[in-house]
Amino acid sequence: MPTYLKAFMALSIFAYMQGCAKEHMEDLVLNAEGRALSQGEEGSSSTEIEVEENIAQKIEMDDVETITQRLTNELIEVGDRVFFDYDQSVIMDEGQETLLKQAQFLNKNTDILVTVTGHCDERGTREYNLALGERRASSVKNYLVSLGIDADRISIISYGKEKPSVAGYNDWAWSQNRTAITLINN
Amino acid sequence: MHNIMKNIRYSNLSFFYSLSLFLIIILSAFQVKSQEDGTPLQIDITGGKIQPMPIAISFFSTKGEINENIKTLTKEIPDLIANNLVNSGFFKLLDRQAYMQKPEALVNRPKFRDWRIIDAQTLIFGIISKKPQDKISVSVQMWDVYGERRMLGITLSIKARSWRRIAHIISDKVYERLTGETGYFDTRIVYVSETGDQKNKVKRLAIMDQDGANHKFLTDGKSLVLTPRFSPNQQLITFFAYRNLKSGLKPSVYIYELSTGKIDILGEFEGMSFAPRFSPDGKKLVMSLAQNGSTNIHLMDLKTRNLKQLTRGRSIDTSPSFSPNGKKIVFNSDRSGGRHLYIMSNRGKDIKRISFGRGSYATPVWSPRGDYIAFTKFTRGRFYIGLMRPDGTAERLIAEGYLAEGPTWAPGGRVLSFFRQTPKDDETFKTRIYVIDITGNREREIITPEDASDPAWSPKYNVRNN
Repeated sequence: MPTYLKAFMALSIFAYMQGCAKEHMEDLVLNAEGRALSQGEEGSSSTEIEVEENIAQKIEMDDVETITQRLTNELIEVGDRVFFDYDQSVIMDEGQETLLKQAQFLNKNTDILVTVTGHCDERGTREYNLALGERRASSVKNYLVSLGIDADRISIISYGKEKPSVAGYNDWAWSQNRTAITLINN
Repeated sequence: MHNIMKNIRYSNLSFFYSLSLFLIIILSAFQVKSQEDGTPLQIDITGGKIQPMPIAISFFSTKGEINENIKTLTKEIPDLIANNLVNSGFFKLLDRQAYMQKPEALVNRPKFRDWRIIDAQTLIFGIISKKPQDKISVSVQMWDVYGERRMLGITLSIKARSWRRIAHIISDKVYERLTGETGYFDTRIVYVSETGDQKNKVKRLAIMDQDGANHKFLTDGKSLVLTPRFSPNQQLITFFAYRNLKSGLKPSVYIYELSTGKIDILGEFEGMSFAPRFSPDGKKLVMSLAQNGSTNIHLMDLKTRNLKQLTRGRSIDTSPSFSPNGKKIVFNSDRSGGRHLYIMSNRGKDIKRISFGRGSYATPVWSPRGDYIAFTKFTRGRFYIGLMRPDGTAERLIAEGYLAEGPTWAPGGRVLSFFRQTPKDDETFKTRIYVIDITGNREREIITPEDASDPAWSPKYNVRNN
């Protein structure tokens, strides 16, 4: 390997470590380019094999991703979320219909696990809303279990008011953010 | 003059101070004499409207060999002291243009007549000298102009780059001597720094001096962090976060060690742990556990890791906070239907509701003096920061906003901090940390690099007189 290339690689590694340490996005981008260059110019056989393996892995990953994506799209069509009234965790008629369809979907796809995330609008304190989000997600989980879904297939996470679906501060935005969303685990 | 020389040692050096300074403070004791003589030079801050005390803070002079940096500090240190004192609302800085006696001339003894002419009640001046190993030594004196008595004499030495610390310690001494209250200037605030849009916020733990200086990020933003709180010895910060562990994403209470930067999960529980706060002795942690739709308050012994359930039932019981003597806990609960504040013993007994007004009450925090409970209130579509007595009486609101939340007390219990989210346009907000006093006056923003929420004021540094 020519000396300048060695020096270049050493610099790349140094830059990479620096980048990690500082977590500067810019450093990381620069470094990624640097590595690509040095690999390309080097052109050794071992590097080529590695690249091929990566491609194979990528295809497998793509397959899994496609399946999850397809199921996710299906779940969204079925209705992936239910909505709540302010400071409430009672599942209303519309939500009951959605959960019935979710149960049918889960019965059809018995190999998938789901996580129900509970959310609140921002008109509550952070800590109270974490509790309320948990109550909403639990409410959905319990309803699905009452429809015959195995409780072990459903995890819950409360996001309180931390991950709103909609930005903004009006009745419509708030109503969209008082929700529990069912997500397929990867 | 009986100058009792005292060494003050910092028993708890914080991680970023510990390297930069080995601090020895030599304190010539406060002259208790003037107080015995009945000098009226004390500010009554319990009364209604406060008349700020006119105070003269001269630029400092220097002794011995100096450099450019020290020359700058002769202005910067007195300016920072003045800034602290004026921000407290109890002091008015007299215009330096009117000072007749120059800093160099003050060294021997102030010409009191010159200072009485401009109506200075108190005069502060100091001398800076250069020490080996990049240190500086700062001697400060405070004089009662009318009584012609020295009220305070302190000599401190520190690494020159940590000069702000000296200014804060002196500010505390002056404030304590003149108001009789605990100072809060030599303290820090840990908070959550926010970037990104409303739907995808990146939240990082950050720490800064109470005036916003010496800002530092503690976490990288890979995991969402919320509600940090200091341990009584300021060495630990407990917080809630969604961290990726081997077992997957784990929303839980974590503990951050300031000296090492190490983050540990508090423990694995059935359900989600959140809303943590230390007990006043630092040995226990009180928090909420949410499980199957109910949230109850639990107490964890940090040494044995034993968990004790304090509240029971199907309601949401959260945001627990200890009384300063550790005997009681105030928390918020929806057990009555609405969201209200309750007090119980540290064993979960004698639960008593204390809030009865309209609206929802939340995040109660007991004042370090024990005389007030600060809280967040939501009513008629607005958020408020309020105060009430521990028995629920004398409720009053001191700040409001589209979203104002999370009060935290400065040491001394006369000043609070909280955060406020203010709409900028249809979808974006400005979120900032504010400081306000218990009268609801002198609200001001602490300048932070990004949006800021969930402030937690540090306890006071443990200054021990040997």
